Amino acid sequence: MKRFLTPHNSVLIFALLLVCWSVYSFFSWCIKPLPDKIPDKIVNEINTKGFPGEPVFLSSQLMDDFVLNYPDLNIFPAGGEVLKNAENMKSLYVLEKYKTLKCSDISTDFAEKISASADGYLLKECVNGKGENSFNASSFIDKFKVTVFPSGRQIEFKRGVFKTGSSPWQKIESGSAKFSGKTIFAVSAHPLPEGNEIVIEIPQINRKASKMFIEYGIADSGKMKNSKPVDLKISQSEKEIILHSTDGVWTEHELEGFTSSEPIQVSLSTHDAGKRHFYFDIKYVAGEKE
Amino acid sequence: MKYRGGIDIKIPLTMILLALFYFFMLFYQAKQVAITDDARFYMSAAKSYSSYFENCNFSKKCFEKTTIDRYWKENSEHPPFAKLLMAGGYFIFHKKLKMLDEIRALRIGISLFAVVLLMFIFSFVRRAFSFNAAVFASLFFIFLPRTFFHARVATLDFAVAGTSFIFVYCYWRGFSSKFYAWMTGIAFGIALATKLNAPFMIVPVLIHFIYVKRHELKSNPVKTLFAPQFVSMLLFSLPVFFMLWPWMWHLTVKRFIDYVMFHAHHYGILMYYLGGIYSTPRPPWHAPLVMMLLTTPVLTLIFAFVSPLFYKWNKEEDSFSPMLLTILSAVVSISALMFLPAPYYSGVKLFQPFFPFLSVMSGAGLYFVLSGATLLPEKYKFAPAVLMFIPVIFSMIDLKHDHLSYYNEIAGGTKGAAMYGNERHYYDLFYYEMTEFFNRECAKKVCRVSFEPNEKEYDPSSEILKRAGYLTNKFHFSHIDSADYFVLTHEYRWRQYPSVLRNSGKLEKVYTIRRQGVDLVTIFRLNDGGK
Repeated sequence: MKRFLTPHNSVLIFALLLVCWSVYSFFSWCIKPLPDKIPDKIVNEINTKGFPGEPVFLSSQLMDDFVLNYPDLNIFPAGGEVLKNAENMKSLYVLEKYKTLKCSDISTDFAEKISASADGYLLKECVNGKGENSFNASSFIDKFKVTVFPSGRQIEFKRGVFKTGSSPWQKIESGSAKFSGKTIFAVSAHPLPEGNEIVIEIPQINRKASKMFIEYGIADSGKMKNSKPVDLKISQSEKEIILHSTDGVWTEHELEGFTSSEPIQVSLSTHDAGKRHFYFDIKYVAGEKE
Repeated sequence: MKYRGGIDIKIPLTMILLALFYFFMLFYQAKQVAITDDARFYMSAAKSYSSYFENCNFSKKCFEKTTIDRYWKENSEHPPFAKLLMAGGYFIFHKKLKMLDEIRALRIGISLFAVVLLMFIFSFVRRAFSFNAAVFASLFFIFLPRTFFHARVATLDFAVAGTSFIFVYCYWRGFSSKFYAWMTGIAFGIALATKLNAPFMIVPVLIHFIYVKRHELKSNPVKTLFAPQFVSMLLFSLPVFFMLWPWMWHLTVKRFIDYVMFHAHHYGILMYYLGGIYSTPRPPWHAPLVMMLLTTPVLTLIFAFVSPLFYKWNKEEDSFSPMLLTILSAVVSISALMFLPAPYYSGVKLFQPFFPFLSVMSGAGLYFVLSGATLLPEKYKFAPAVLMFIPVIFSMIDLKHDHLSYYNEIAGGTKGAAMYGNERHYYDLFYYEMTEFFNRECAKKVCRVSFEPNEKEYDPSSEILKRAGYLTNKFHFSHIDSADYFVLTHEYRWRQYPSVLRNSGKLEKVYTIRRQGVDLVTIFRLNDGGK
């Protein structure tokens, strides 16, 4: 045995085993196609139990195809700095396969619960235990209606964006920004120059909300001296609230008397649109999921 | 059977066979190798150099400032040697013989130089270790997927790998050959005229020399230091460097300073590494090492690692310490990128000089292991060598010509790279498959095509392809607002990529370039077909 397991023989045997393992790995892993479908059981769970447009974060880039294959689900791909968007969300799903992603990896405020599993996929629910259960209108931005005045032109939702003007920053889309150093994911809505108004209609939803809030602010990137606030008018039926943004501050204001079963209009305007990196969201405080 | 001069005929025959095999591989379907984002600079400069020689015709005009400024200003931030290789291929194969299109003609100079490098590797290893080790080292070098890609494209990185190795080769041969000793300075001058990696090769050479000549240095330091190799370097390297670069013939000091300062303040280039996005600051110090470990075939790494362990170090001094020189050269080539405050990006592109030395070690290591192993009868003891290349050959065939997406088995292939947060590809490659797709789609209509997240590089690349007749002239680069097609390159190094991907969900997907199951590029149709 001693003569057989010389250093040279050992390395050779190891190398030959490595060849075998490499070839096996090549055929069983490297060139094996990746799935392009989420198991129906999991899609069903998200559609029936999840809040409208509830975000789904993938644990591995190997599932990134789902982003394109399931455009009606609010799926976030797995790589880059995507998880930063999730830090301040109230609740979200994690779809896990190939790589583990714990809710606590996203934020230590999240409690984790397994919602469903099928074919090696695990659907986990991450809920921020602080405060009440809620979800945000930014999760279903594709359902918004946007009109600019005085022209009255209705803007089409194209490639995730409502293009309200000809300049590259004149658009409405979901995204994240820092407010006093904290990352918030919301609706980015750069106002148009003075004399113009953007009206965003957020549709009713099939979910009763016990309370509703408007959250808004100018991101840290838009902070500047002598800036003009963005003027915000939130209306529903005969109810109307007028608010003004503050640079670098994310503000929450309760929409008392508002209901989730009717559309909400959010109107934006400003006296000076320079560097007005304005974000807003509607937060629906919901009960427990069924 | 003996050759002239007492050399066994199997040596030149094997060398030629390997060279032909390598050239065949490099040239096979060369049209299908993607266009890199820097090709436009180097190809344009190479064509300009070719025009310089054609127009001034080696007359006095060649030395005039106006002539030089006209033909050598293009891409003057990089030295010319690699571009001269491209210019040579362009002039001979495109302009004179009209055998090749513009792109392949500009690339063939680099590929031919790769074959020359292979022969130097073979020669070095044969002389230092053995004939069999030389064959193995050559094969290890040929089957380095990423280096193989760089040897097929019109860029500088492969050329500096070659000139660096040849410089070290000449230096080492210089211990036993006056010719090579005097050639050392010329080789170093050519290396300096290739890319900025070259000056670092002085370090392993100096350390090696001090070690090899340590006894003589003690007794006669001055005479020893003025060895023919170093005298040659002192006399010839700078003159050769300047001779090869006419741009430096006028306003020499200013232009040389500009050249150095450009690289001292090189703009950052994005890189996605282990889930992080880097540019300025650059990726951490370990990134070059980790990328090398993940993108070099595993068997190559294993044999390189065991090579110094099985080497008979007591015999080293008989042949002027080739193993020490190889290890030093490999370590310095990669360490320069790890520890110096230089920009680092794009896989293993920036330290290509490391890989010839790695191949030497791997070839020697495989030879040592097989010659010492007793598992097989003496007659067949080298037979297992063939098996060592099977995994990488499978991967290289599977990746077709897109070897910048190669990751080894430790990494889990391209799939594993994606899973663990590494770039699936880089270099803003204009893939041949994309060219074929648009040639089909735009056969009867103009197609306006936009690219995201990085739209900057594809317009110039598409112009190169159109000029060479690869891509239809009905392909028009366009802004997204007026585009008929949208090309999404799957690259997390762009911060906006995740939202671009999310925003593309409802678009009509018409084509995907996928390697090892991982999407590299997806093409969407935006309108009903363009005009």
